[in-house]
Amino acid sequence: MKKIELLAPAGDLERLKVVLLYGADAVYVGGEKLSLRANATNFSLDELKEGCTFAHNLNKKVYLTTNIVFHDKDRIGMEEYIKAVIDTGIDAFIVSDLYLAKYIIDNYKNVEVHISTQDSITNKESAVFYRDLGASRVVLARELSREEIKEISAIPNLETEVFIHGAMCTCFSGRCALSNYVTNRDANRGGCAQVCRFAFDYNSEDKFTLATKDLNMAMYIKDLIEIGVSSLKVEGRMRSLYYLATVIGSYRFLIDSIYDGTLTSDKLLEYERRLDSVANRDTTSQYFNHEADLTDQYYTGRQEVSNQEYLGLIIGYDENMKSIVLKERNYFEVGDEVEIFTPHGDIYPYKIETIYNEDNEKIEVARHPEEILKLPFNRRLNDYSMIRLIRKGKNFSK
Amino acid sequence: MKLLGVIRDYNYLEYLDEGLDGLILPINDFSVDYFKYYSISDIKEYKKSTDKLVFVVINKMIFNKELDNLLDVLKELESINVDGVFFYDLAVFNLVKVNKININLIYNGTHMVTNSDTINLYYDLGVKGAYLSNEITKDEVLNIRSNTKSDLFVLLLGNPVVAMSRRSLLTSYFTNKKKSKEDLITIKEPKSGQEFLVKEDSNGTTFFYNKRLNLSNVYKELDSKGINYGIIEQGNYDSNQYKELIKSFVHFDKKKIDELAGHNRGFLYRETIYKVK
Repeated sequence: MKKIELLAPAGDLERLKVVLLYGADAVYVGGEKLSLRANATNFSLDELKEGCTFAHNLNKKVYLTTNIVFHDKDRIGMEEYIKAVIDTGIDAFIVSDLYLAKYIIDNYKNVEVHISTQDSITNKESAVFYRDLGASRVVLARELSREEIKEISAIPNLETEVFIHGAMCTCFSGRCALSNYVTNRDANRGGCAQVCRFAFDYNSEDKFTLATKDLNMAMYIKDLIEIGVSSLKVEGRMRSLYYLATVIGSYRFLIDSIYDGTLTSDKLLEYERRLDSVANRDTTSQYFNHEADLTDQYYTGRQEVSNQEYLGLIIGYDENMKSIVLKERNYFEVGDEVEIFTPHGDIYPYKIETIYNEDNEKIEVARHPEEILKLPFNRRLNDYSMIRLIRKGKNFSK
Repeated sequence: MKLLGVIRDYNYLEYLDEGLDGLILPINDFSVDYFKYYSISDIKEYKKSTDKLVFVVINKMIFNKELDNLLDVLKELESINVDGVFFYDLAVFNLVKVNKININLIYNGTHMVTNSDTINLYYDLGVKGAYLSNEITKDEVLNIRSNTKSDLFVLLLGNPVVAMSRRSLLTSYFTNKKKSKEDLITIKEPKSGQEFLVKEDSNGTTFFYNKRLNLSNVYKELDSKGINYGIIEQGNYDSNQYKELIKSFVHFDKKKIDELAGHNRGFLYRETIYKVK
């Protein structure tokens, strides 16, 4: 049986490299046209080509999201664009519009078409429709239960992809134009202003909110493998490198441990906690075990908290100083206990005893994000290794 | 342009007498985004009592456990010989195709019916009509008209559907507040001042724009350019007001329509943006 795919988001080339190095089997990205994240840093044709080369060298795949609901004028140059992006080497398109899906299927046999979650596929019949059209995969609606996912995944000759982590829409994908009416930004052409996270006035003295908690399916990866899902998708093309590295690295560990039979309940809990630690909202499993209810919603004021455990990105090694070189992200100081983690899943507990600045002067406190710093370490680490805070040291009160 | 009504009371014969060419009937259990739903026997009765057009709406997201029942409903609708079925979920299309059910289908993708090519593809697949999205401009409507053979439906007057969720958002909200539940509330986004009606039923929660859309100013132009069907929703008009509205469209009286329905022209002249600088 084919091993389940871990599919990661990437908003730019650096994120693409990070998620693939941290264990994603495939990555989905937006191009300069037809993507539902119109305001993300989308990939140019050159970047797509570089990304595909990078991925293919690792025997991994790149999927291009072309999932807007287009208007007639968006149609201009569509065929040329499709041809140009196919020439960059992408492995599949993620499409919501039926015309565009059929156009690609009819004209390009060497590239797959996956039907976007924007089409909210909630049943076997619509999945079969897309299979018969020639799509190789359907991304299922996020509103489905375990049993519903299982039934659709049993359809022959059709792969299913399900979201396992990240932000949720309050409404059915494709059936929401709140953004259009409140901000004039077109939700179905990539301009969604996330109006479902706004607070609305209700009855003059009250606030009505409809925002949802995020999705975290760490506890159910084994179930999803067993019920025959083909691909596990993480949301968040605009998320930080640290978030992506942690989330993809964690799911990579969970999937591999399930397949080789080594996953213990302690490890599962540890990784679930790790995933929660990088989330900036509460998480639930949403519809998987029951119809979503008030426990899956937010009714308290602030929904998001900033995360300051990401201390730095390792960018090199100073042989003379026998130190890793890092770019600071968040405040840390001598005495802090941290972990250094690598794309290969290695984790090194580390207590900060000495910090050098770029001029090799000792400093006590790292307080300037983007500053280049050095920490003594006995060996070079892979590119895109990172440092996270585990516990503040005794000087925490400063 | 033929005029179709969406009504909330039982005076349908009176409304048809005023000049409506037919009715749109959302069906029980398989429709969302409406305020009144009809059983198969209601639809049979309507069909029996008038020679005018009867369209049925099946626009909810379909779940596996509903597929058998949906097939039965489609067969019933075939036997009733309704004039068309508005559908959102492609399960409807696939069941009709696979089971060779003789029903006219109208693509009712709510916010997704926005371009000529997709409508043409549906047409080529046998879907003879499309209910255009309310979020496109007049120029886009006319461009689609000139590029497709499909029958085109537009909402002439009514509260546009803005969003639909499977979640029971009102139940959750009021439970959390420990207040007794309401099934219909009005909310306002404070910065923009936009108001929405929020309605919950057993299929989830729908958001409607609280300003009626009124296309009276382009009705004649849409008609002359070949838009086939215009939809006039009763909304919260009483029977007399609704009859007055129908009459005002039939014997076109823009001033009267605007007096009754206001001047919200929706997105007719306001193109949505999606790249924010």
